[in-house]
Amino acid sequence: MDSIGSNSDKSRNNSKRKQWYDKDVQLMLAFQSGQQEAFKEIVLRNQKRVYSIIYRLIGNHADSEDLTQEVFLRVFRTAKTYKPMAKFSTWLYRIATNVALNAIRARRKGKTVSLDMTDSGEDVRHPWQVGDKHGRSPESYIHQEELINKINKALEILPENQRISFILNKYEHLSYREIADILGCSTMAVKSLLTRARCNLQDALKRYLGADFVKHLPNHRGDEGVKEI
Amino acid sequence: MDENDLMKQSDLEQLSAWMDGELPSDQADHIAKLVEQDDDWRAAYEQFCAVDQVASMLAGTITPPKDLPERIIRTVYRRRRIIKVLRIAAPVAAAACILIALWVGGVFSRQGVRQTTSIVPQKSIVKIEKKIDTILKDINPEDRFIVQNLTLFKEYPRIEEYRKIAEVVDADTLSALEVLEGTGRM
Repeated sequence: MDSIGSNSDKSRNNSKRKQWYDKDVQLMLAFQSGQQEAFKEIVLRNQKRVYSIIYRLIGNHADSEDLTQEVFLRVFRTAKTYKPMAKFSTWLYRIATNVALNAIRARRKGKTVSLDMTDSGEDVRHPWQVGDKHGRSPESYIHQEELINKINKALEILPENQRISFILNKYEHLSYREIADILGCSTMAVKSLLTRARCNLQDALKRYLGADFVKHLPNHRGDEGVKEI
Repeated sequence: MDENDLMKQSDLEQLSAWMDGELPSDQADHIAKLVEQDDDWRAAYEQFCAVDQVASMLAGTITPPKDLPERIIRTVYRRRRIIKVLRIAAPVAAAACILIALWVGGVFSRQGVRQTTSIVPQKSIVKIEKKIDTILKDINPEDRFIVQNLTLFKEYPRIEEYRKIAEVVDADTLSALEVLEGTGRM
C-alpha cells in the first residue's frame, strides 16, 4: 500500500528536478520577466487541455469557453507571484478544476440553465454527437446516444472529488501523484477516491442499464478511433 | 449480492490501483495471480473492466473552437486594460468625490453664515426704528418734522442762499427774474 506513496515520492522528486526543464515553466518565467509573447505561447500550448477538463466537468461548450478564458486570466494575474514549485500542468489543472467546481456550485445555487441544455436539463451537445465515421445505423446511433446519456448521468452523480479523480485519470491520463497534487491530498486518498468512483459508477450503471449492463455495451473498447467533438 | 461486496475495501483499492498500473511490480504480480485464481477477485475485476469500458465511450479528443486562443488573449489583455484604467481612475474618482464633498460642505456652511449675517442686521434695524419712533414721540412736532424730512433739509444751504438774495433784491425784481428764467426756480 505504502509503495504507491514511496514510488510517488520518487516521481515527485524527479518531477521537481524536471520542472526546471518544463517548457511551460520557462515560458512562465519569461512572462514574469516581461516577455508578453511568452503568455501567448502558454495559451496556445495549454488551451486544449484546459478546455477539455472543463468541458468534461461542465458539459457544455459555451460555459467551457468562458471558463477557459477565466483560467488563463487567473494565470495572467498570478504570473507575478508564480513560483515553479510543481509541474506547470498540475498547477494549471488545479486552477481549471477550481474554476469549474466554482461554476458547478454557482450553477447549483442559481440553477442557471445553459442555452445548450434541453428542458430535461441535459446538454444537447455531447462528445458522441459527431458525424458517424463508423457507418452505424440510425437505430444503433440512437441506442448509443441513450447509452452515453446514461453514462453521463452516472458520472454526474459522483461526488465532486471522485468525479474529478476519475476524469483526470481516465481521460487526461494523469497519475495518482499528479491527481493528488491537483486535489491537494495524498496518493492513498486518490487511490480510495478512484476505487469508490468505480464502485459508485458500477452501481449507477446497474440502476440505469440493469444488472447486466455489460451486455448493453457495444463492442467499444475505446480503440475504435478518436472521436472529435 | 454484488461481487464487490464480497471483497474488502482495501482489496478493491489494490485491484483498482493494479488496473491503473499504480502498483509496484511485486504487488502487481500478487494481484495478477489473485485475479487469475480467485473467483471473487476475477468477478470484481470484470465489473471494474466493464465500468472502464463504459467510461471509455466518453473518451475522445475534445476540440475547442479554433479561435479560442485568440479570444483568450484578447479577453485577458482587455481586462488588464480595464483593471489598469480602474487602478488609475479609482483613486482619482475617490479624490474628486472628496473634493466635491468638501466644496459642497463649504458652500453650505458659507450660506449658513450669510443667512445669519443677513438676518441679524434686519433685526437690529427694526429695533433701531422702534427706538427712533419712541424718541420722536417725545419731541415737539416741529423738530419731529425736521427729523422726518431730513432729505429736504439737505437743501438747506441753497434755501439759505435764496433768503440772502431775497434780502438784497426786492420782491418785484425777484418775481421778474423768475419770469425771465421761466422755471420759477433758481
